[in-house]
Amino acid sequence: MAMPTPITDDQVISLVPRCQRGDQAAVETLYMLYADRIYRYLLARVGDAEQAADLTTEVFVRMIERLPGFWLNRQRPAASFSAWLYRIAGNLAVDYHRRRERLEHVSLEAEPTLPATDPDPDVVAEHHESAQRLAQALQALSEDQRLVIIGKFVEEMSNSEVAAWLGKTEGAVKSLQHRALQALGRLLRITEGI
Amino acid sequence: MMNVAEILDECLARLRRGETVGDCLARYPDQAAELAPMLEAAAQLRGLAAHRLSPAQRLAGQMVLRAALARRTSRRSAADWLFRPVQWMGWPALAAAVALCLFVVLSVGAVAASRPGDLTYSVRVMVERAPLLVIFDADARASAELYLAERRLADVQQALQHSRSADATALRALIRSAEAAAGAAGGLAEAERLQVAARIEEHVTQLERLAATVGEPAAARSLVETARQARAIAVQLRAEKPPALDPQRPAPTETAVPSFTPTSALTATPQPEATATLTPETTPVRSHGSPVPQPSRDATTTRRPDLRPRQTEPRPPVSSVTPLQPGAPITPTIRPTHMMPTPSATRRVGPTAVPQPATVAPQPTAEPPPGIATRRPEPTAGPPATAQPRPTEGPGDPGGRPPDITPGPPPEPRPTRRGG
Repeated sequence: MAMPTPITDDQVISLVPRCQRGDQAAVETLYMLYADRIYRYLLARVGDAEQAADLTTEVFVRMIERLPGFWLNRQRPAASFSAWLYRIAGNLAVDYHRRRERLEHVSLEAEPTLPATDPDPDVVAEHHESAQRLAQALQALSEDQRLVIIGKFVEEMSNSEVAAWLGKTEGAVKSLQHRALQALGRLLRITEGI
Repeated sequence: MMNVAEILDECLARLRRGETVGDCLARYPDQAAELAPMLEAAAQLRGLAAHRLSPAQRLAGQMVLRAALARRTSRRSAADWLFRPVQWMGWPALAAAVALCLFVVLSVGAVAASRPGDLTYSVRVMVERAPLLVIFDADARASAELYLAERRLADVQQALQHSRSADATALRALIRSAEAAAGAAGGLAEAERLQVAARIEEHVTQLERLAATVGEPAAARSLVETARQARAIAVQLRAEKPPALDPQRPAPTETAVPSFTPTSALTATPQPEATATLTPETTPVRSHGSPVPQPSRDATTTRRPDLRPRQTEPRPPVSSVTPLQPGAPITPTIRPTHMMPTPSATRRVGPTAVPQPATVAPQPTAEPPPGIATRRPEPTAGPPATAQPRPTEGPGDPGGRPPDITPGPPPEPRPTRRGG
């Protein structure tokens, strides 16, 4: 499994002002850099591949609309922009769950799905259930715990990278990771009936 | 001794390097029960790292973004305009401008809300005088100064209620406004001047009442002293002489006609005998059979001695009435046919048929016959000075009224109307 290429401060300092001026090439470059990351984050949050893809596009549409008012922190440009983008994604995930809760009162048709990479229906069904349980468990975490889990297991960052990204110490990251995994393990075992 | 968080972190690193969950749990048998669910959850999470957007999803996303970017560039949102000053000025300059605006607003608020004793009260007093800089009319200026004086008086009352002290700034400002009001009123008519003086005296009364009720001796002394100064201003204003009449102004008829006095002289010193004897021969109108002397154009053309005072030379009434001493030559003048401005005036002057030069009596008017003379108005009921002919309608005035109504005394004199 290839580690995602880290995004440097220089890239962000170069791209964000151009995006604020409406440079289409810069917007597309930013999209290419962050799209998969945001997609994985949203997939973990909503547990549905199609919905995660749509929400990913929506995150970047909102980025275009709100970028003129974004103030880039020159001390930690990549971390501040990434945090801002993940905050937009997190708000959209919350909105998604609210809408879904309302819809569940009306219809039971909606079934979140993971990408059907395996033709075996049993495997596909197992993936669906697993993703659903994971997304529900992640919903129970705090935002900091969620971001540490995303950074460590989805983005495969080191502790120091996550610490720099979130503006925390490595010790705090380890502690957050411990509490998050503790909660996730407990929740997953409950939902799996173990 | 590692805590669970550190053991977990080390196990996660081993899992990343390829070890299994069982291997990790075997390394830490004491913590295995606690680590197992966490490592299983981590293994599920690691599966997410393999997911990526498909090329089709990526392309669709790019198309949506291009459309969104085109919308944004076509319609400049309000936020762009809102942040444009930031681009021009930069954040520090914008913050300084906002801070300056806040300072100005707060300062104005503090000055407007200041009370006697506050640091900003002097500023408030000064600012409230600013409108006077553009008031040039004396009447309006006096009113504005009196209004300010009343505001200062209210401030003094407020200070007495709150701190039991008479604020010196307010008292000084009060006296200043009173002085300025008096100065502005000096150029006004007497009635207006007296009104200003009366309002200043009202302030004096209020100051004295406050001085009587305040418990603090120092405050009472200040109030009494201020009342004394204000009273002096009012007294001086009352004592001022009325300003000289503006020659440009139309002079009141009453004051400009000193020739009223002849009437009073005539009425005060009635000599009925003389007038009764003179009248038959004097008035040519009467010679035509009219019981009442009727002036006419003919009469105006005849030169007769004129006993009426000349309007162009106001003189004391006595001198105007008694220029002709017995035996003195009478200078005939053209009869003032045009000098009777109103019927009322003519009535009082009466039959001005002048005695003939041959007659000795220098009486100003020839009285009607006895029957008519009885209807002559009594001196007490005589018209006041206001009814006298105006100087502008004096002898020789071509614009004067026709004389046909002048000499005839009306049967019913109406002194009340003329006296009004």
